[in-house]
Amino acid sequence: MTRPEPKAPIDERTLVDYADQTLSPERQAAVERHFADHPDARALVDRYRSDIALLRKGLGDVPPSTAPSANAVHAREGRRQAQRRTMRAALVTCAAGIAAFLLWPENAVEPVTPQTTQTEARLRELNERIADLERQVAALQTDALQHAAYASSLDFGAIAQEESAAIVYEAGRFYERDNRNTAVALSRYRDVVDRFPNTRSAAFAAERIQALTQAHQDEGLSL
Amino acid sequence: MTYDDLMKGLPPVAADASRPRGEEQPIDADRTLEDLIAREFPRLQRLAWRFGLPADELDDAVQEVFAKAWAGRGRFRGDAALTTWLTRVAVNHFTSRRQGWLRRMRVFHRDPDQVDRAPASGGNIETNDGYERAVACIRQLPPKLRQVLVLRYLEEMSCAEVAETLGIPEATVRTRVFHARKKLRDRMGEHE
Repeated sequence: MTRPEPKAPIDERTLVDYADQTLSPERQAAVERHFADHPDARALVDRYRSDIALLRKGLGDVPPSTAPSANAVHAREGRRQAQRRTMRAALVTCAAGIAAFLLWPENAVEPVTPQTTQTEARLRELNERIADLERQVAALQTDALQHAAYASSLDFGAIAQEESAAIVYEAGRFYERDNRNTAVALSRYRDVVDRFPNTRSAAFAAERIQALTQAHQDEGLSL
Repeated sequence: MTYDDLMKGLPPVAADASRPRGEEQPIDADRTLEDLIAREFPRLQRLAWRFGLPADELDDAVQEVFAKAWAGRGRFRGDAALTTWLTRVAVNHFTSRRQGWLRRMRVFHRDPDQVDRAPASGGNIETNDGYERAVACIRQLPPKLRQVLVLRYLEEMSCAEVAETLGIPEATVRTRVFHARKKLRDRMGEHE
């Protein structure tokens, strides 16, 4: 490669071309004149040439090896094609398996039949029965609480007379009329409540449900 | 399959008059694939070594190049010499294979630089010498810069030949050559 402008500045790219000996004779002479005033440029060119010389020595030869035959090349190509065929076969098999699974009669979604409708109706009926039982249990629990509260209010009435306290029971809640003996009244209230069954416990609910179920069965109904 | 069968799809091969390698015999049109391999295998093996493939993968890499070239022989249009086309296939394959090898090295926690510095058995890389450092430095260059450096200075190609081989403009080759040499000098200078 020649550099057409002999008076162009001598930059690092020019030095690379000089190291590769691709400059025109005029340009080459100009670079050599440049070296007289710039010894560092000459050293840089030497290092550029040294780099390439080292590369050529380092990567010159490789260990001797036997060239493969054409059969070996075709065998390799055959293995590549076999791998591709195997992959295609595997994909087709997977796709066929998925399709078979989806289309298999046992896996297909069954249409709605009259029998299913009857089953659903029976389930709905049973669920309504259960909901009805739960409502009755809740009512019983409320009754039991009211009963306990009422009984305790009776006791509180006695307490109120004795202690001159004024705690009344109205509409399911206690109201204190006088704060002076509140602590004593509440303590006695807890004693009263503890004597009643825990109407919110699971055992209490299960017992009442059994009783209600028995009652329903006695009336000719069954789950 | 006979060699005559193999030759049915092989494109006609012209002598590469642009290459200044007088010692190499041009390939006749009636040469077989076997001849092509026998002629080009040492050169491609050397090219693979220069592109940074480890010594124990050179044979495999070159065989794959021939297999790729054979499988893609229909894409050879004949507007370039067969050796140039084969070199282009080889450069692309060696570059991508080198990248894959580097990835494997990183996955298995091996230092590619250490492997790069290991000389091939029977090779001429001497320890504690500038050769080893130069080889390590060129293998650390970006692939595009390493390509032009190898083809220009180790394969002794002109810039025009490098451009034709890589399929890029000649001006691009000159720019890459300059940057490659500058980067190589910087890296070499770090160890001086």
